[in-house]
Amino acid sequence: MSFRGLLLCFGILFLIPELRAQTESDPLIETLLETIAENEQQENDYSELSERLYFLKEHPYDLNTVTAEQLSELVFLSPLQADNLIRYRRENGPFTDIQELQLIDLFSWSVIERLLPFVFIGKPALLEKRGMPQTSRLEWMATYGRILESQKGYETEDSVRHYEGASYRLVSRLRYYRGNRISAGLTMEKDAGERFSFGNRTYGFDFYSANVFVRGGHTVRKLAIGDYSLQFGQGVALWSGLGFGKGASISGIAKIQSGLKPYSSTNESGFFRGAAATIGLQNLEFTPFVSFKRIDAAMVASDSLQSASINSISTSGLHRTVSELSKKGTESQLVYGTVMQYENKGLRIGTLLYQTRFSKPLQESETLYRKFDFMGSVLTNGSLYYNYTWKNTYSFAELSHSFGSGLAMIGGLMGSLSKQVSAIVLYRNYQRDYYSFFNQSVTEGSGVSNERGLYSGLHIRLNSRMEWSFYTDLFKFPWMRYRVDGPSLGKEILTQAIWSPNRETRLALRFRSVFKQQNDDIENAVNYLVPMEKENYRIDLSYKIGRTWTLRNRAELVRFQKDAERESGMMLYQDIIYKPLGGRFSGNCRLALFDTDGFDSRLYAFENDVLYSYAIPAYQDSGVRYYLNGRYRVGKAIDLWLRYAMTVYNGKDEIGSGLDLISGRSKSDVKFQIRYVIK
Amino acid sequence: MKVCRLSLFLTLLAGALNAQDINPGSRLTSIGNTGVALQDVWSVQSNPAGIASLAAPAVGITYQKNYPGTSISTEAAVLVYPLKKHAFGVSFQSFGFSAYKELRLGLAYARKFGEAVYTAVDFNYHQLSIPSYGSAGGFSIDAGFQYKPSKELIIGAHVSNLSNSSYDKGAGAVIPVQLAVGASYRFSEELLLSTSVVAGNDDSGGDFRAGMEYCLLTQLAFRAGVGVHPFNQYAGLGYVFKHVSVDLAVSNHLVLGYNPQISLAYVF
Repeated sequence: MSFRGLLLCFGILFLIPELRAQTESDPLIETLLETIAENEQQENDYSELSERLYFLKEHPYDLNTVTAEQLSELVFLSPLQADNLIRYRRENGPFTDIQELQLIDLFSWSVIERLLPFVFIGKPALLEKRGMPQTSRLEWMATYGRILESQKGYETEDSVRHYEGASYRLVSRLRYYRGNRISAGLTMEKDAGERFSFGNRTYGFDFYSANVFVRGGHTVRKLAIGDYSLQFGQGVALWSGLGFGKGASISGIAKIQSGLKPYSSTNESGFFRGAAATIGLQNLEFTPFVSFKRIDAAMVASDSLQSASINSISTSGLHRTVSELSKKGTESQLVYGTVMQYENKGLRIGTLLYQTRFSKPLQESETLYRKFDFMGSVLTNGSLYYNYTWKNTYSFAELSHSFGSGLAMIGGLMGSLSKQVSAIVLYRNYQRDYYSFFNQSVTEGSGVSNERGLYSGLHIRLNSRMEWSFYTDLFKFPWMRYRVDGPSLGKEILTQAIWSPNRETRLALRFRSVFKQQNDDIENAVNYLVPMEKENYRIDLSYKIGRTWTLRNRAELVRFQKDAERESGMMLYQDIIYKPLGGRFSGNCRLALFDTDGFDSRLYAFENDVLYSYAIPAYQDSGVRYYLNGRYRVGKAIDLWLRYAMTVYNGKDEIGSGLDLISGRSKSDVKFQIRYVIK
Repeated sequence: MKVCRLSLFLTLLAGALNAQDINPGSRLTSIGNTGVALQDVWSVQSNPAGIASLAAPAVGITYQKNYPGTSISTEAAVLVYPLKKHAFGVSFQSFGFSAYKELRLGLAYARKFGEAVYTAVDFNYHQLSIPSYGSAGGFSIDAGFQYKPSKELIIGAHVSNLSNSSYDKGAGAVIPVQLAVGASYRFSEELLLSTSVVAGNDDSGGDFRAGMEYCLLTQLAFRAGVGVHPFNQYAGLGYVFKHVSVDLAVSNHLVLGYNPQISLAYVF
């Protein structure tokens, strides 16, 4: 039976007709990404994760061979759940029926429902793996987008401060897969405002990224040539690419490493370029890696030729103006090192050592709050980490040292205290002089440095219809920060209740409160700290009408207070999602009304986009925003997407600032995407 | 510096009068100070209705070190004597240091109706003494209620100083009026969760608290909790040996720091 057929069977088994394997934008994956992404209040590129999930959906894992690390790619599984699955298989032998999942601890119906599209049960080893055909797949996708209104940066040709290139953004992605083992990718990108030309040191697109990745060998378990990511331990020392922090999903706070991964994002910083491999010897694994790439940096004008040094590293990846172009590739970064880890049953212990070398040294900063920033040209990081599953608990920790400077550590314990209740506690302590150029750990500040904190969370699943989660986080910053002229502290509280009376309806209530200290607004060389408090109240409702239509609403209120200054804001939106089974056309749209007093009371909301793209824009000031997304399947091989979004502000004659300034009260953008697949 | 610190603490004490209020022993403190819907000998302090559930007489004492770097501490002792449907409790608490002392003496009477409804009333005498100024006294009445519709669930409510009485001699200090409402739920043999909402007659706003107790073995329990306003984190552990139980707790206030606490109890 084909996988599709198999899945269909399970769908019928569980009476969920919508679980049929679809090759196109999957509502399940979209909801999944939304729950992950909405907690992050920064611009992240989710395309990599989304692409991987869609790929896994078409190339699901065999429950009888899947490893804990592979399960970690399914970001919705907690480490405890992943380990429970592996342990269940170890203790009870291979899975013979998908229904068995219900017997595993912590596998509630909703978890199984999410997991189903990504797994299947392989035939017993008797029939040999060779029976599985190695399917090849070539995929090309191109995306074109631009803002329709004219922006200042494109108008003033004569001045130095203007955008060098055209106002459109263009991305081309080429992917090749051979089964689950071999993949190759080529990504090319030109951001809006960047040049697209050939000639004097320009090569068409502004950013190129390519890689070849092989996995599944006996000794060489993974091999990457080109651009790749490394994610180890708890992200204190070595973690590049996407990582998640605090969010409504309590268990997501514990990081599950995925080791060496191919890099396919359009994010122009925070990845490795070179070669890496994971070599396995029974329970031991070595991952040596080397990377060399040019990075953007602002140079310090120096009087003598010998002492060229740099001020700061730029990670935006934007090269639109003369000034941005002057930073492009001025510095080079060499990174090399190795990771060694041991795994046995529920235990993983690892150690890593790597060095980051810059061609020109980073200069000491003159600003006081950056007094402890990294300076020099060589940084060596060493780290020890472990995670261990014992009965119903999962513990993890990482201790990292940047040689010659500080220490950073994180440690946590997660436990399922009863069938319905799980709790987690996590402590972190990052010294102000700890450095790492590739970190992604639990922080409230801007990186793994200068922070201490204690996080505790609780999740209760009362029954299949109701769940409640709650966490608090207390944090202290021993040294100054940007706009904070002294040691400061703060707290965060989030609570969310979800009620789903049936599978088609979901109601979620959320409250979040953040307290911090910040400089007062008086113009001074050194400021006093004043308390700053922000509270968000949110109601989400989503329901299905028939099999084709889904409606979604959100209402959110925010209250902001800093010293005597107060702001408030609200947003209300209506989403309509149209998705007929097997239809050629599908689409969705949103109409949102928002009214906020200003920057501090802005609100964020997840927006649907063309396949693999996601956006979480800020809704600020007052006005109306709407978007329309449509997908049309031309044939078996070709799909088209079109997106049109527009914001009309109330009582504004200018939008944005600087070179992005638009005169008028509306801003609209359009996106067009085409995908061509050869199987 | 010392003077500065002292004056800081005296200012904080004004707030602490409400935050510090009545110490319910290490166990209830470490479960997020959510004793309003919990039942043990220390219920005398948190919600006396809970003592009507006790089967045997019990005594308890506790010592808490308040605010690191000061000599401020809390000491308390409780005694409960159940008599069929009725129960009597005595409580004593002292808070402060040599230059500032608050005493509270309470007499509680509790009665249960069936196995589901528990009520109590509590008479308290308060004394505030600041040796360099003098001392003042006052009476207050508390009332409490608990409802236990099933073996797992307890819902509780408690009001302290319901007549809004105050110290004599116009001492300027207040005896807070405080209303606490909460619920606790026993999810399994091992796990107990408890939450409460507490509001006072000052303008400090309400507090939401949540806590849990997890019994690793029948004698050994781990506890943790949080309060969001003021922000407090709690942790603790307890060990029961025959008739004696020893409980440790530590609370961490966002600004005021760590307060360790130890309690001993004996059940006859």
